[in-house]
Amino acid sequence: MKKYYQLFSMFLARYLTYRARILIWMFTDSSQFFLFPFLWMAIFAQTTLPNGYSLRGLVTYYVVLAVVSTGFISHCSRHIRTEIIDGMVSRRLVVPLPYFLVIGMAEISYKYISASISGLSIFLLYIFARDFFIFPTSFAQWLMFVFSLGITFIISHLFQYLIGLNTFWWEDINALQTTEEIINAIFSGRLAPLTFFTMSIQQLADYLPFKYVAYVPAQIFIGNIGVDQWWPVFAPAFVWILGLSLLIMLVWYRGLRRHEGFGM
Amino acid sequence: MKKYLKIYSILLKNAFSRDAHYRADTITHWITHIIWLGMLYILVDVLFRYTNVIAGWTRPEVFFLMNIFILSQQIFLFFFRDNIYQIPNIITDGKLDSYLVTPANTIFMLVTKQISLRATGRIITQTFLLGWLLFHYNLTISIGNGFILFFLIILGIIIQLAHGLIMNTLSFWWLRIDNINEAWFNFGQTAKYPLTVLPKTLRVLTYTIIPIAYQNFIPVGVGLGKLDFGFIGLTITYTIFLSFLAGQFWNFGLRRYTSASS
Repeated sequence: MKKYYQLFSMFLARYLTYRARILIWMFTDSSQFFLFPFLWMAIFAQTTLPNGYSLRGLVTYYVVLAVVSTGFISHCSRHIRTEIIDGMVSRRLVVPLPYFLVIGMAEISYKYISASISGLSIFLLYIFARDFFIFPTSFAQWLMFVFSLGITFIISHLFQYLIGLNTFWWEDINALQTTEEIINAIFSGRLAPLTFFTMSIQQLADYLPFKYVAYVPAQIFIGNIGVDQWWPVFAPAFVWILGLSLLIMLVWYRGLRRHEGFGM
Repeated sequence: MKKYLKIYSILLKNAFSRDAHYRADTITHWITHIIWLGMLYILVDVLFRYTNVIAGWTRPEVFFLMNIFILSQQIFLFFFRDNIYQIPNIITDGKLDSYLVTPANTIFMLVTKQISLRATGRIITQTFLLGWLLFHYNLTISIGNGFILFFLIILGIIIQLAHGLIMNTLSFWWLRIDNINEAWFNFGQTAKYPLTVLPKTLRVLTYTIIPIAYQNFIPVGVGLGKLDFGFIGLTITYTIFLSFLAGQFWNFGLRRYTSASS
């Protein structure tokens, strides 16, 4: 356990060296949601909101998305791509630490900083702007929300890890990343709550893991998913975690067979 | 002028030979572009499920606005984007030395070095799509307004360039801020939507400190007759002001640069 803590500290120190970078990344992750509340307010100024939503709830939805996106979504594919292309992965292979955990600790140490700032933002909103937003009303709801953030991180991390490993086959994974981002944007509820979409898209979203990285945490936060729904909400997420983990193992071992390390 | 045209023609030849090596990359990016357009279609469909007009903009007008935004972004990518994105690394790694000793304007060399021919397919796709939109939705733009639209798009691209240069000049003070371009790219996506949904104070910011309105909102607004001709004057004035500011700020930042390799 000590070696993982050391790894965590090492990555943390590295990230803290370039603090401006962290703030810029946080702005990058959260700024995409800036306009949506205004857009929906303009739309629903003329018509009634769908069931289960109020303007306050809709604004809260996007604020939660910004917080989740900033503090809990992994972006490790870029890191993995650089390590594979630069040959760093070859050096990692001779270290007595599983590569998956090294990348995991790198991401956790980064998220430790961004999630702290995100948490602080929610706390400040709760203290100073409680009347403008909807907040969880019970401890159980807070607990479920925090749990969903963990699921958000794990699923996004596994997906990003899988995309990163594709570098073993294609050096440029930009197109793959962009395609994943587009699909993710629609089916995660980042553009709009999934209930605003057509029934066919909603049904498709139910079979995909993307809703766990945005829609589910936000819905729990604003109370549209009740605390009595733990099992139906999270059971499919566990199936996805298991499936993605197995796929990663398969891709990792196949990728290593293709990998050529130079200069060791 | 003749010297710069010659330099640019050489850079263009380089671009052809470079992009010939990355044909697969060009095609995958084009396919991604088509998927992205599909996503935008779904989004507009969702937005207009609940209303016929968003802050004074109808569905065809929003489509037109979004597609002009994409066209403007692709033209910017073709000429400048990759070069602007490289500036922080060039400054941080000390590679600026080689630009400073070149017998040509440093800013010109920095922002024109790489021409991204891979954007050509997307520019052509967008042009056809815009033509189809005008025809399909019966959007009428007079020839005069069409020229004004085109002229304002060009000024919008110059504003993007000047703004990009100002942001990246900050690298002289803060190292490793290459992600500032991604941040701006993400935030800039806001311009896809009608900015009339924003409260007046925030809208003023999009004309000044965060000038995203010039990319497509003002050109399309004036082109479709939704904004008055005073915005043409505003765009011209702002283009001159920001270009001048970008040049001055670059020269100011350059004083902090310390050579790393020569």
